[in-house]
Amino acid sequence: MIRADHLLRRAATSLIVVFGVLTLTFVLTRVLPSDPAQLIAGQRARPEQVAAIRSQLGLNRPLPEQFARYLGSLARGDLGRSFVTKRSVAEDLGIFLPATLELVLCGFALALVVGIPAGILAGVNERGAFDRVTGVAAILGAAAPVFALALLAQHVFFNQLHWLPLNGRLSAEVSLAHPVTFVTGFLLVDTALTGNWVAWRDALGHLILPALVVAVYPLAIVLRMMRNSMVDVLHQPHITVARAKGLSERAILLHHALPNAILPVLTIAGLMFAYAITGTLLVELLFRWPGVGKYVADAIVAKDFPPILAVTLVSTVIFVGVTFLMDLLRVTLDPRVTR
Amino acid sequence: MQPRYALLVSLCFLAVLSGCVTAPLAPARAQPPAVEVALAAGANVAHAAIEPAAFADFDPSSACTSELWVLVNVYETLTRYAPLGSQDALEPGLATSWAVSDEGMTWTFKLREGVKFHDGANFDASAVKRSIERTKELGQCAAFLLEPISEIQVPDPYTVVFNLAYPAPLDSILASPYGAWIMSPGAADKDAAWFAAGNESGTGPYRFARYEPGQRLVVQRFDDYWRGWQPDQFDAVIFEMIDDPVAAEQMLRAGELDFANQVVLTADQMASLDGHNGLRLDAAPSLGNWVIFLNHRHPPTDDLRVRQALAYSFPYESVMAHTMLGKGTLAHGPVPTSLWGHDPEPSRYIEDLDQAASLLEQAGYASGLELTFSYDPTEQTMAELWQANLAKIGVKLKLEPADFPIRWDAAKSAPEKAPHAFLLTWAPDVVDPYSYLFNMFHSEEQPLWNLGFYSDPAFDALVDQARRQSAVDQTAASALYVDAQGMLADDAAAIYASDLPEFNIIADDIQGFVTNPSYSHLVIWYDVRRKE
Repeated sequence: MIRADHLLRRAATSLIVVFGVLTLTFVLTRVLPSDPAQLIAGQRARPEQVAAIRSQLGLNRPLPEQFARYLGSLARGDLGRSFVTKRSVAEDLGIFLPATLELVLCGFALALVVGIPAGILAGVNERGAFDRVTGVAAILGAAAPVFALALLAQHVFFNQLHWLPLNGRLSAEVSLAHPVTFVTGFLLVDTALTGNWVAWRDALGHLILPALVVAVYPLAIVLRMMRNSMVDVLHQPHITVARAKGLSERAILLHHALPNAILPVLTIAGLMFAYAITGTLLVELLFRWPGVGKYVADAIVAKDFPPILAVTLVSTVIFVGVTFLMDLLRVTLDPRVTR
Repeated sequence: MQPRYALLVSLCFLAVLSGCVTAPLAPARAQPPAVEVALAAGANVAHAAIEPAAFADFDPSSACTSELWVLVNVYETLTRYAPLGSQDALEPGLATSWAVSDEGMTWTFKLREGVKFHDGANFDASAVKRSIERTKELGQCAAFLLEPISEIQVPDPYTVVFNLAYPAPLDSILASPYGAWIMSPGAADKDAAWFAAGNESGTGPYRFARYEPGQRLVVQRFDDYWRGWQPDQFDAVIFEMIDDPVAAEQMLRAGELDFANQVVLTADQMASLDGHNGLRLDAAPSLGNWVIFLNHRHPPTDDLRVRQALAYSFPYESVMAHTMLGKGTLAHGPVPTSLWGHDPEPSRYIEDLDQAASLLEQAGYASGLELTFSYDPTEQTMAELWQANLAKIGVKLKLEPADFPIRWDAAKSAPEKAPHAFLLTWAPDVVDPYSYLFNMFHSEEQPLWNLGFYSDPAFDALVDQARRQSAVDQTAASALYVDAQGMLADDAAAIYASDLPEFNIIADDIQGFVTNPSYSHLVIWYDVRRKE
């Protein structure tokens, strides 16, 4: 049973974390030696023009006042407008965040669906052939630089086999002839909802390679952790007791070993997932995936404060949310936590 | 809970969580229309690469960077810069003819009739007035170019008169791709957000058909374009947004792009793509050059003899041979030789280490000295070649590579501590010697581009006089600009490392592409065809 005070405490800590990260990011972006006004005005602009823009954006105000104003507009649900593109940050996130989530969710689903059973299998057959092969593969997968994997995947599946498209999220021809109606921003979902199957197939084709590349690292980690965790648990006295009771191996694995072994794996997977929201920048660059990593990287280079803060906020919320979820899951699976 | 559900539950939760995060952000939009023109059987479609930062700003009053690669196909100016080697520097655009009176103080433009904006409005003098006034009021990008304009009059629908506060070559200023675009009155009423959403209304040959942020922009032919259409011209152009040079190279190698420029690719990548899979490298003179400012406010480069020694120590020939694929040309001075008003004589400073050593000795630095050089990391070769030369005469050149915005900020905020030598790649905002001489050498109270902090009232006066003169007599102005460059050479104000070429990678079957240095890094897609 989950206790209400536990929930409340967690929610309060989460809020403090979000506020702390937001404050820190705000102060950091402001104190760094950079002048967004100059960047907005363009390098051609004369100093008078730049000064005018600075006061227009309130960048010449005291820092606490700027922060208060920011929090005020945030409370009204306004993420602001990009200094550089003049586009609404909320609208841009509505485009770029689903793109990244679609990519990362597919990648992680793949990592978990393959990694967990493979890890269990390797753990059960400790030091067997499967354990050794997956062990080496996992080390390779965790160590391989993501750009190398991306280039390799593109070379094999595009240049050599011609099976999959090189990059992008949807080909120009399909996008022009079979325009996708925007519902959730997840292309596979939107095209399926509107029955636009030509675009669905095209989007799926474009998703496979980058999702595979995103999946490799978490897959390797999940596999190894699951295996080690399984080995640990299988050596514990309660498993010996279960065996002595004459339970079937299947029952021992599913009801006695797995619930204990899977907890740390899910916690780590959750953290990796939250990190991947902004951490898939290289994959997004090499696959020309219009995601939030690329979006925030451009914003950082341009000292474009509103998108930087908005992405920080959103990714912190996701991070905190995932951690919270993992906690709940742990509580549900492991009654010792609340007992 | 059964453990076997754990995975399922966590995945569902992640999905719900991501839904919660994105749902409030999701813009509710209807299905975008299909772009028929681009899809008609046998449609001519071109694919060009563009940097995403390109789409920083679609507002024609403030667009200042590579979004101009697109806008030049969508908007037009009253006059246009003619390609190199043309008889006149300018050619008619939306204006058919123009005249200047009152010693450069009044400019009268006769406008083209029968021109339509993409939103259906008629092009006329009031649209010109609205557009230029909007850009001037907004005050972004190169709006300072319009500063001489004090009043715009519309005596009749196809005549527009500009009264200036002081004489200026307005015909050349109004050809600038930085802020002299003409937009429809309807568009001039809109704010930056309207343009940022992918809207436009110019008179150009192409209009926006589809904008997919972060992915691509599609333009298609504007049927009512005033110059008319031939069947073999491109029906649509797809600008693919690419941040990563490797991705751009892969797409070119795969035949997915017809055009990419120097901003998208590195020079080495371009060299390797030349001749590959129906691609060719196009190299042409540009209006860009490399200027190495020598700091007049930071000892020891405040000493003329030290600056002269540095100018004699620079390895001009080997830098040209080892950078820019060997296609750079010898600079005569700050105004590149591809533009009027350049010094007809080669620079007096050639590589001469003996001369440099003796100048240093005269200045009292026979025992050597240490200097700093700020440059972009991409120009490492140049820096090392110069460093090696200087080492031979006892000068230790401390290399300080950094990304431009960072080193620029640092230099202009503290002149006395700024590097002794500072490399700038200059490209003019308006195609005029004034852009070079004013921006880089005119006295500045608050440093912006004059990063050697040169200041000489006599030079300032001469350059300003030349500008006024250029409004009425380019030949006389040219002579004054040459004199001004003589003064800079006397003062060894800077080192002119090289006049720069422009590189583009273009598909072999694209015909009619002529690099016009006034419109660098872009294609005017109306002018080119695909060979059958």
